[in-house]
Amino acid sequence: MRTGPAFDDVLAAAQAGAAWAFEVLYRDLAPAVTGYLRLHGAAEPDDLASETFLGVFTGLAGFRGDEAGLRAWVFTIAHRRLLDDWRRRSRRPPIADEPGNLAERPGGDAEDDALVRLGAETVQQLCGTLPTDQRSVLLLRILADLTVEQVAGVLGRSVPSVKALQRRGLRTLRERLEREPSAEPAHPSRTVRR
Amino acid sequence: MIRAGDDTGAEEAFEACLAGRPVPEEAAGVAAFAEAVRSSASVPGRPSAALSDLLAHGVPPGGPATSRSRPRRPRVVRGWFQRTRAVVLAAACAVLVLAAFTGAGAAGVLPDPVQHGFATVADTFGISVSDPGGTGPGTPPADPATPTQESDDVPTTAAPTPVRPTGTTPPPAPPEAPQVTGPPATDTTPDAPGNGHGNGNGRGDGRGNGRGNGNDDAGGKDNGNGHGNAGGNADSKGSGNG
Repeated sequence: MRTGPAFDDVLAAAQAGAAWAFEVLYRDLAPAVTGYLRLHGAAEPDDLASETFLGVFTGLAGFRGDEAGLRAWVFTIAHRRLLDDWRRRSRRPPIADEPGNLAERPGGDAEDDALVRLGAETVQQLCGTLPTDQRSVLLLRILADLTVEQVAGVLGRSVPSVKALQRRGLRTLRERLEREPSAEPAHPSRTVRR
Repeated sequence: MIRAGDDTGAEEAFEACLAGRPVPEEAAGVAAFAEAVRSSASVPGRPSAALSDLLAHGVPPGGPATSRSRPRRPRVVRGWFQRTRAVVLAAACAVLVLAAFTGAGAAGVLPDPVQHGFATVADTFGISVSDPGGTGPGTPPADPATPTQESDDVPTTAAPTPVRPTGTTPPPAPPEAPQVTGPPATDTTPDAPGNGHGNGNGRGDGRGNGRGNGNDDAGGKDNGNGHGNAGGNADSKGSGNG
């Protein structure tokens, strides 16, 4: 979801403190931010997302940039809140051992099968098999729709490092999915974009 | 089995998936994963009370509630700085005026009545400055027997040119005059040089200052020179070298 051409107006209103502009930005960004925090294993993803947006809205007056820049900035704050949460809990996010038996999911139409099999729980389990850095890169690319360069900025890494993490993350995913052949959708080209 | 060449294809498929382009069949798993991730993150979380309040009411024009009291602080601080600056400026001006007054007084260029008062005050601190109604700079403390006292009786009209009898200011002591002398040369024998070098720099430690005394008995060979220092305590080592 994108704010679109009205982004400049929305941003200006939000910087002036307008509640409606906060609402627009929150509806646009909160699902991805909350999903990012949840798939990273945050104990209270809703609370962390709220902290993130409180920080965003109170610091928005000093922001300068376009919509993509705002998304990168919001996810930078979310990622830092996540790191703080991990430090508070003094442990890394829980890592699932196995993604579960993907073949046990109900099936039918190939398109629906893929989405059902890779449901929320399965996705979380798959994310749990990824090392934290690889997971951060893939989730920021998928959920936040950030470029490799923007991800590098959010994570404080170099672009080649982010590319390497993405490559290794994709390989890990494919190995995991190949281990469970039934998880493969029958027609992926029809499956991924409806 | 994942081969190295597959990584490139997987990355291309991943980029195509993110861009919404068709994805090759061999990368269907990754594409399905991406789609499922997006689907799982389609609902915003439940906002906290503070965030709900912000979303409902926004930020008032004066700033958020947490910073409403902030505008007062700069005012208080600014006022404090203004008051402090005024005090500092006043103190600096006072110091400058005092320094100028002191400098002028030390130079003796103040009006005579003021200069006289200044000299009186300075004299209480043991500082001698030019005093048109006094004895002038460098004047030693007045001797009651000196005519200076008489000049106090001179009418004030004569103050600018005080009647100062000759000899008011005692002539400076000759430098060779011993302030603290050893035994006078007259005590020595006539053939003794007795040059009386007493220089008054006695350390008062009772050492080496018995020379002069020793000369008395020595019959004046040569150096009955009165080297006796200021602290010429002959009682310490009064043997002398005569």
